[in-house]
This record gives sequence, structure tokens and C-alpha cells, in this order.
Amino acid sequence: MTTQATPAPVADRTKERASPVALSLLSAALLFVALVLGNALIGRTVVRADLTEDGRYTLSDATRKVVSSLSDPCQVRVYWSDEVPNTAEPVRRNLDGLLEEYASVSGGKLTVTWVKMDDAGKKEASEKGLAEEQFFYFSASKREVAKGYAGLVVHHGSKTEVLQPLFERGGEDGYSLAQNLEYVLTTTIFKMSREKPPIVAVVADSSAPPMDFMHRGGGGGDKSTVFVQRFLEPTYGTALRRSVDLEDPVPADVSTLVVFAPKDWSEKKAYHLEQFVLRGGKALLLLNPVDLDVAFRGQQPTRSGLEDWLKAQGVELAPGVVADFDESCHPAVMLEDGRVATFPFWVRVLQDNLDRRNPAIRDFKAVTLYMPSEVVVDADKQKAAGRTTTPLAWTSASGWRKDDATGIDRFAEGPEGKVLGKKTLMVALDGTFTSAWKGKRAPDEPEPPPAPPADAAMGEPAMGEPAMDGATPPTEAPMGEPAMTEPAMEGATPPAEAPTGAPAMAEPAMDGAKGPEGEAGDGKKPAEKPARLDEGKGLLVVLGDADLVSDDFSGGRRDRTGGLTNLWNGVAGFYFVTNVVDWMTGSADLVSLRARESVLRKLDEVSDEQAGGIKAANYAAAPLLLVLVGLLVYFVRRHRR
Amino acid sequence: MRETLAVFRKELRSLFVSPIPYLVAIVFSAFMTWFVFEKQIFLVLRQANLDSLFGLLPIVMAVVVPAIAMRMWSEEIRGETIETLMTSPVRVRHLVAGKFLAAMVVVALCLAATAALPVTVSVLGDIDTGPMLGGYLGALLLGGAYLSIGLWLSSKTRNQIVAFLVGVVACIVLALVGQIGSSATGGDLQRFLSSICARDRFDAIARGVVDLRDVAYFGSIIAFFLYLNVESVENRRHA
Repeated sequence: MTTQATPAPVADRTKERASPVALSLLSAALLFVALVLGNALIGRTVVRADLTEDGRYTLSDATRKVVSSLSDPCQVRVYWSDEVPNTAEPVRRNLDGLLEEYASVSGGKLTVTWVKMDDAGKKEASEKGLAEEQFFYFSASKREVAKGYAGLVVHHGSKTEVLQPLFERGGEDGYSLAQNLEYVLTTTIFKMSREKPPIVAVVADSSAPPMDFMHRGGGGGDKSTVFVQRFLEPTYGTALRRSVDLEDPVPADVSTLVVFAPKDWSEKKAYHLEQFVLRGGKALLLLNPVDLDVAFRGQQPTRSGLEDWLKAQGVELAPGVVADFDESCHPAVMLEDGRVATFPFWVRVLQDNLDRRNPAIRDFKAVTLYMPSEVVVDADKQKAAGRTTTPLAWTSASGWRKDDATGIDRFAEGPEGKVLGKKTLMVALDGTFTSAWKGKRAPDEPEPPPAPPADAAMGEPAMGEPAMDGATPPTEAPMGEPAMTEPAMEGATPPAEAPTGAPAMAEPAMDGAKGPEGEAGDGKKPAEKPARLDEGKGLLVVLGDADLVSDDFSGGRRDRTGGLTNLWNGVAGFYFVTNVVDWMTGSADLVSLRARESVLRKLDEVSDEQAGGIKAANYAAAPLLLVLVGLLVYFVRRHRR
Repeated sequence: MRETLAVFRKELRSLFVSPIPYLVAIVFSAFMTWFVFEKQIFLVLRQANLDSLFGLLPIVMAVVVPAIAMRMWSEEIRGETIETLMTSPVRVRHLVAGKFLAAMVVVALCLAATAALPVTVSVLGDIDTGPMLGGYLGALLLGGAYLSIGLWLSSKTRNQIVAFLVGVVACIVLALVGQIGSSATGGDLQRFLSSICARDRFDAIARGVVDLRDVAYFGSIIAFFLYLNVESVENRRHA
């Protein structure tokens, strides 16, 4: 019996070998899987180059500084419903990228959670205060609307802030990430994380109840009441000093000063304002030469008392009142006799006429200034003085300044025969300020002692003691304290106004939370008067109107002015000024953090003829060049042959 | 690499002796110029950017690039010159890479033909060069992705028209897949569709941000379809 070895089945082996097509498919599938895995891995990394000139899509240094210096954990919870249409998907991706960057620079202090938007997620979103938004999209060539959540909630310690909306709508159904989202988010985190909020002080001259020109007998009230109570207080709370008197130096802890409609200020007040700015303070001046009383009751324009000081800083408020004759830049008002008339002196500043680089104001569609004044600043001179000038608001090209405010109540002013042009209404000056009293005696310093008569006896001690000047009775100096070191003991302070023994001007307790009277005689050691500065860096913002935050135009009153302005302007002016204050109270870094996309790059205007030439050149350039290249190739080849 | 370069030079020569690439570039440029100036009223809106150009590019390129790619293999198959290529000592992957690079030169030529527009914007305004560079880089990557798809489809058929039509459909689907569906699509599916959408990726680069993820996406598409192209030609050799 023989055993036959089984021959190797060559044919069978061939059969067993997979076909090239099958191998090809398999290898393609493997490559596909490898590529998908590779992409998934890369998807976890953030490696990118921002080619934009201003690094628009890269976190700014300010954000990095704020986020990296977080001391406590900060949580960002993102609520993004499935209902948000896919046209907004690029926004979600950009948001994801942005938040990833925040988390990565925070060193683990900031965590981002995308909340699963099931029923519990939606309930949580609603409870946190997020609102459902409407989104438009096309479905089978039909325009439809979807409702969904798309917002952020930031948690830091016990504080919670809601950020919404995150979108800017562009085009028909296009969405893009809000350009100032980085600013808003960073500012929010900054506010929530800072231990000591900046102190904001309001300087408001109390004024007589204003008359309402459309509702005589109505009106009245403190002009700043609404602004302070409804808008600044919620943000700044206890960090808000409601009524600081600049008869005294601004308390050292105040970082931002809002000066509301100053009236007939003394030199000393102007000096204290100046010294505050020179010490690095930020001041917002809402100047109001023309108010309802001036415009409709024939009163003279209000003198702020800051004119000379502003002039020394290169800023002037042009006399008269500004109008804007552009149809969309002024309202129609109903007169008492029922007529409807346009009123170009209520200047509606449209978004195009606001500084688009300033995140605090750039999103306003419009803000109305009531009988504003033109702010005149020579930017070159400011630059030479070491300050940058940034116009923040201006009229349209149909702006015009009437040299005086008389007769504007006749509602008869038209653009005919007038030279129209843009008028600056609000400006920011940032940089080095020089004291208007440099080399002179400061208004809060005591009068120098009269030169001793030639025959006066040498060595009289009282003559050389500044605090012991003749205007201040020695009996008013607090006992036991050397009068010469007491700033309040200067001659200009009438004894009756100064609390006995308490140098009011140097007391930080002059803020609204603690009235000066309450502090009298509490035995506190008076704060030192800040050293006089001749130069310093600060920020000054000047707006040629204060009515935009006055009760008269709040729209809150149930009179005709209120109702009318409510329709016309709502409370945009209040939000506007609040935003500016908000912007000013940020750290120096935050102030520089701007919506970088906001620089609107425009082409030069061209005439129809030029446009025709440009089009023709664009149409012809490529074909001509290509024909030349073709001919070159042809001749080179021919030459080679 | 040397072999690839040799194929590239040969393909480039054969491409540029014919008037086709010039005509394609001229038509492409004329259409884009018309669209930007007439439809997007470029000089009226006066925006110093190339958004109006880059906004349409993914769709126009979805038509132009398959037109460039359609004959690259189909003609070899139809003229049976592919048999000669198969017997040559050049490896298939070098053939594919050489053809791809040569066709990319034509794609780049088409894009260069739109250069008058950025020049106009620079002269009339202050253009941000970042988004401009990003836009052209994104367009090259997008063109590469479309081209790799077109080349693969061209290797599958001897009929250029079929290769072109199927290529156009494939490229348009790739460009618009992110827009398919509606809010009813649901979050995860929507996110997935958007993540594979060439237009969304292109838009991300065209805003001036070159993200490794977007580059990897286009690189993956190019690598995958060039590999399929190699396999397709190899299979033809084995058939």
C-alpha cells in the first residue's frame, strides 16, 4: 500500500488568492479608515496660522492675560440646540475653536461643556435665562423658521452670566459668529473674576426740574436719576459713587468719572477733574450747552465752566447746535397743534457714524443725541501732545451746525443754502495730558502770602505757613493736628461748608454711599491730598450732549416727550452711555481689546467712467496675459524644433 | 520623484500645446469677473475684500476642475495609449502623481487668471492680505481635492463626457453636503455633514485662518482619491 503524497494544488492556490480588485477595495477601505482616524486625531489639536493682518481669529493678549490669571475655576456651558439650522454650523465650529483656545490658555482654569440639548438641557437653558432664538433656513425651496437655543452661560464662583446672541446675521440665511464675542466673553470673565470692581463715580450737578416743551408743566426730576438707577447701578452696585463733588479731589479709589451736564463749574472743580485724569483716571464728559430750556425757552446756552480747561487740552465745543438733514438721521415730531414736522436737531447717529472699532458702541443701530454740540479737536495737535484722538460718533455728511440755538423751536430749518458736512459729536482722547495750571498756582492751593513789606520783621512764622493763611481762621483747624498739612484748611473752603474737623475734600467717604455730613466728626484720619501732577496719562471722552441720558428723553415718563422719544429712540442713549462707561472701566488691556473685524475696509469711490475702465481692464487682463503666455510657449517650441 | 517629474513635464507639455487650458482659464476668468462686477456689484458695494470671488469659487471650480481632469485618463484609455504606459518602466503611482501635478498647474493658472481682481482691490482700497492668501490657498486645496476625484473618475471610463458629468456631480455634492437637509436633520448628522463639506472647509481657510484640520481634510481627500486612481489603473493592467 502506497501512500500518495497529495500534490500541491497549484490551481487551487490561485483560486484562494484574492482577486486584485478585492485587494484593491480592501486596501482602499483600510486607507479610508486610516485617514478618518488621522483626521479625528488631528481634530483634537489646535494648530493654525491666522493670516489676517490684525490677528482677528487669534485670542488677543488681553484675553490671554485675563484668562491665564484666573484664580478660581470658570465654567463655560454652551447650549446649542439641534434645531439650530445647518447654515449656522460654521458658527458652531468657530465658536468651538474659540472656546478651545480659551480653555487651552487658561491652564485648566476654564472648562467648556457643550450641554446635551435633550429636554433636560433645554430646561436648564431656560432656567439659566437663555432665550430661544429664531433661525431662518430654506427647506425644499421654502423659507422656514426654527426655534432653538444658542448661547453661553459663564459660571465663576457664585456668579453667573448669560451671553446671547452669539450670531450676526449676514446675507439671506447666512450666520457668522458675533465679531465682538471675544470682547464680550473676556470682559464678562474679567468682571466676574476681579476681586475688586472698579469704582465709578457720577458727578451730576443738581438742576431745577426741566420744563417739558411739549407738555408744559410736566417734566422734572433729577436728570441723572434714570441713568444711574436703571443702568449703572445693576452693573456696578456698591462700586458706584452716586454723587461726587469735585469741590474736593476725586477719591483715589475712583477709576472712572462720569460727568453729567456740568454747569458753571469753578476753576477748582475743573482742576480736580484734570488732576484725576492726570493720575490715570478715565473721565466721560457729557456736556450739554443746549438743552430743552435753551432750545425752547430762550435761555442762554449752559456754560460748563470746563471750557478753558478743555481748550488747554485742545478740545472745544463749537457754539450753537448741530443738525443732521439726512432723512434717516432725524425724527418727525408731532407739534402741539397737531402738525408733524421734522426736527434735524435731534440727531440720530446711525451705526455707520459710530466708531466701528469700539466694541462698546459699534453694535448700536442708532443712538439719538438731542440738540448736540460739535466737538472740535485737532488730531494733529493732539498727536503732537502725546494723545491719540478717536472720533466715536459723528453726523452724516448732511450735518450742519447752527451758530446759535435761537429759533430752532420753530421747526422750520431746512438744508437749503447751507454748507453741509460731517460733524464730530463724541471723541476719545487717550494719552498724556498736561496740566492747564502747570507753572501756576493750582486753584485749590492757598493764595501765596502777600510779599512782606520791606520793613517787616524777619522770621514771622505764620507768614510762611500755607495752611495758616489769612482766609482760614486758625480756630477751625482740628485740634492736635498741624494745620499746614490739612488740605481742607485752605482759604478757598468756606468754614461753613467744611464739616468741623473733617477735611471733606480729602475724604474718600465723599461718595454717594456715605454722605459727607454723615462722616462729620467721625474721628477718621483724613486721607492725604493727592500730590499735584503737571503731566500724566489718562483717558478723556467728550460727548456734546447729555440729554441722551436725561429723564426728559428716557421715554419712561408718561408724557408726550417721553412717549415720542420712546418710539423714536427707546432707551438707546442710556445703553450707549452705559456701554461707554463699561468700556472705560475695563482694564487698560480690555480697552485695547476691540472687535478687530470691525475695521470696515472700503474701496475708494470711483466715477462711472472709472468704473467702466476698471471693469474693462479686469475683463481684458487675464485673456491678454494668457494669449501672451500661449504665444510664448508656441514660439519656444518652434524655436526648439 | 524623478519619474514623477518626468511624467509631470511630459503631461505639462502635452497640456499646454493645446489651446484647452488657455481657453478654460479665459472662460473661468471672464465668468468670475462678470459675476463679481455685475452680479455682486463689486464697485457699488465697495468692500475691499474678495468675498464675492471666493463665495462662488467652490461651485464654479466644481465645474471647471472636472473639465480639466476629464481627459487625463479617458483619452489614454480611448486612444489605447494606456497599454503603452502600462508596459513602460514607470510605476503607476508616478504616472498618477505626474498627471495630478500637471493638472494642478492648469488649476493654478485658472486661479491666477483672477489676479486682476485682488490687484484692483489693492489699488482702490486697503485689502487685508491674510484672507486673500487664505482664499487662494484654500482654492488650491479645494482644486486639488476636486482634481483627485476627477482624475479617478477619468480613469474609470473611456468617455470624457461621462467622466466630466459624474465629476461635476461628485464635486458639487462634496461642496454642498453641509447644506443638505434642514434643521430637522438633527445635530449630530448635521455636524457630520458639515465636517465633510468642502465648502465649509474652504470658507474657514478663506477667512484667513489656515487650520491643520482643514488642510488635513483636503490632504486626505487628495490622498484617498489619488490612491483610488492608482488602484484603478493597476486593476486595468491586471484585467
